[in-house]
Amino acid sequence: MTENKINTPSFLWELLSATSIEDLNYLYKGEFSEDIAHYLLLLAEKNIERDQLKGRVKKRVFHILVESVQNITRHQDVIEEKNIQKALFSIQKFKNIYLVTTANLVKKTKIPYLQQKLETINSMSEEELTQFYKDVLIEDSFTAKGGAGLGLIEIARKSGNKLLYDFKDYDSNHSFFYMHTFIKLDQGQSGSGKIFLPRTYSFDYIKSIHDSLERENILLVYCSVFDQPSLITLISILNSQIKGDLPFRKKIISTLVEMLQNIIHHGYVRKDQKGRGALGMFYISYKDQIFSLNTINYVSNKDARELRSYLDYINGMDKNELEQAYNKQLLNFSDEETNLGGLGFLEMRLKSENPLLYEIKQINEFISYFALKVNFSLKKSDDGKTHNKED
Amino acid sequence: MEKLIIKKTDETPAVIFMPEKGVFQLAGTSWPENASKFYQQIFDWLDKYFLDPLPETVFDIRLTYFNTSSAKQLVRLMLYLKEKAQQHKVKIRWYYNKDDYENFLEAERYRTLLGLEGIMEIIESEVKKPTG
Repeated sequence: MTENKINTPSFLWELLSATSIEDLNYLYKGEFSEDIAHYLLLLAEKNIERDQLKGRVKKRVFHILVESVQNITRHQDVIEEKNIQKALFSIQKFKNIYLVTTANLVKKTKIPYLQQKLETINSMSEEELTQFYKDVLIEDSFTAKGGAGLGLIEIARKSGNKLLYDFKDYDSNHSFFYMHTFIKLDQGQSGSGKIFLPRTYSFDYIKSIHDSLERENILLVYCSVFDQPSLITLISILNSQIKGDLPFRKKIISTLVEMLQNIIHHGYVRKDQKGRGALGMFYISYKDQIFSLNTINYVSNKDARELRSYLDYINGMDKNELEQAYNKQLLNFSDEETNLGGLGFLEMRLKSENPLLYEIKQINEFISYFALKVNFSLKKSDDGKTHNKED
Repeated sequence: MEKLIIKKTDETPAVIFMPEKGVFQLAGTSWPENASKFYQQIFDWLDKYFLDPLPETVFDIRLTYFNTSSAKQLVRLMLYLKEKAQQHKVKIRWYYNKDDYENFLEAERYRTLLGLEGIMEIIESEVKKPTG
């Protein structure tokens, strides 16, 4: 039944396999309104809270995130109708290092000015930066456009690092302005040597990811440990962002809950890492009037075999058979713990009115990757109702 | 009889069981990680309550979102109430938002599947927020 299979873009497997249970890879590509920024930060905050950092460190990390996001919302240049869904915001965490990357479109004419400002900031010592911050603060209070440059100075000060940046051509008048900020959590302690970062943390990698997200029409990637708090946060983000009527939103949310709880309950977790949730990836894509919820996680090979046959089985059912299977499962209380989310998959299948697409990739003799894609058609459906597409 | 009051959270519904006021209400969303654990406290309380219930017990359910493992627990709860209805006067009132036809269909599924025609009413409501 090849029609149930999907080909997951290879960069996503790569990203998941480079992520360990303490890490985070969180990418958002899209429109940057104040509202969206709020929810992006909320998700980041939940993840940071899990780290049990000292209040002071937590505040510093969060402060940089806020400044970075506002840097986008304040300074992005708008290309009429074209630039929505182009900006990038990512937070990655590897061991004790956070890396924040932003990319937004700027007019090419602004680049020399921006470059000069960045170089000025980078050439300064800590004391000079503090003084510069005060100067700009006073200067800014007299100019119309508040905040110009202050954010960048703040990011440099709080991170204690040079600002890493780059530009990339977008069209004849615009470029992407990339900025990369490292935050070391144990900063201040002497003797911490240079840390080897995986390839997924390099500037070039993020730039290539930005291209891939654009190419595959992926709006959001969240790769980390899944547990109940992260689920609740993701729900509130989606609930606020999905356009469309209540029934459509409910279908998406219900499906999301089942997908993520499947990872939490049935995702493969190494014995020494039990009790902390399961590692996985969630991403949203939107292409040709199809809105897709996607997950990738680790499963045991035994579970992979059962998943394959179960999904093929329910994908082959018609609506009537699905309803009957659903009712039967609803009354089945015996195997709540052991069964692989039987009722959950039926719910996804019924709610989406589409086959559940999947891909299984064996990693070694014990575990496999399991990728699941649930599609929602935004075109006029059979019942005559039109679902609003995201605008 | 002690009342049972559980505050609504992001993942579990408000439970307001106040026999002295004749109020038995379940309202909000329900997608806890472990639904059977959450609902067990309700069953434990009901076991005690039905030793000496009110002349009539009316259950109000206002659930907008719930996950499949909560759905199983709701089925358990409704079957439990159906059984109690053989000896006592018990009614279930399921409220759904008028914009949420899917919720009506879910309620109807339970009513038919569990044979609750005699004791379950499905009521359209414009009120979104649970009281209390």
